[in-house]
Amino acid sequence: MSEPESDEDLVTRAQAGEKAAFERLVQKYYEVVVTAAYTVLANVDAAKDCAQDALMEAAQNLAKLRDKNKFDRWIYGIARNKAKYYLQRQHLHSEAMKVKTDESRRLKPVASPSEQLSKNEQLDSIRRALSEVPEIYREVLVLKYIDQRSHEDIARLLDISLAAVDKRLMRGKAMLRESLGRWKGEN
Amino acid sequence: MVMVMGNDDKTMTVDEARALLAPYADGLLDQAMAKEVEAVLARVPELQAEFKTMKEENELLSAALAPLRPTQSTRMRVSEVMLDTYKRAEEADHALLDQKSRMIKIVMLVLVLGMCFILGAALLYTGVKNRQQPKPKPAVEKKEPPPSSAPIKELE
Repeated sequence: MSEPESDEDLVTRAQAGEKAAFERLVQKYYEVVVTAAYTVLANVDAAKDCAQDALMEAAQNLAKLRDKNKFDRWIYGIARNKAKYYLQRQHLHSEAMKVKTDESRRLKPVASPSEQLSKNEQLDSIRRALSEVPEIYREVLVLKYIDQRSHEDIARLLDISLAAVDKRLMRGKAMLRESLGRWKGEN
Repeated sequence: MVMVMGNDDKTMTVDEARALLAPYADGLLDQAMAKEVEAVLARVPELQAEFKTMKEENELLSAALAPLRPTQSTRMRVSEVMLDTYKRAEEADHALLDQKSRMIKIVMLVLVLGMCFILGAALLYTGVKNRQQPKPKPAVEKKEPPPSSAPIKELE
């Protein structure tokens, strides 16, 4: 059985221009990058665009990365900064974004089965509720449930203790339930 | 508080099981601990209902985040573009480095030429100045009388 590849090894190989190493890094960390973006932006489409930009920026600066073992934190930081930049830009164009969002809402498929529609609405309401949860709790929730990342991984990535991860998860879920209750109440 | 009665003190209580329900639902407990939670779950319907709700919440949360997960083709495409971007950045870095070293060479050459020019000019200036200055007359040396070879006659 082959040993799991360390980040140090993958980054070294990527810096040598090995295609497979890039594929493995993307396989391992795409969700982390998307999570960082989604935590700040709280919007699926914007987070996906931002994640791709962040990955390109990481590729541009990969040669400068010295502490290869901290690749996960490094790329998470890049994605967060990129997302903050997106958010600033978004604020500048907030009116335009509002129009766009309204249009995309109107373009929802109306011919889908009612059950599917209600499921979609349910998921949509969870995402909206999630956007109301404060960032520090949201990032732990997303990291946990986007690809079942372990608590140890989350703790390492965010540079916090395991107990803090557990606490934030619990608090985050409680807040999410509260937000969901509010959404349901409004609907 | 509902207690699970057991034969020994090590039997898990409902409250203990409840506290472990979230990590159990997330599959984070080791096998032994998970079995203990399952044993309590099997006996307490109230806990079963809580567990069911918890599982549903987790599944919904995971489903709500599903659109963020990239497809395999997206990953492949992104990794290819990343590699391409990395190579272009490397090439640009090398080009910049080459440009820098070329610039350094040019600056060094200019400096050396400049110094040669200054040195040459200084030498030329000194030479011209030396030629222009009147030659000082050689000082007339006082000739001392040659020592007489004849012995001095003693005055008698």
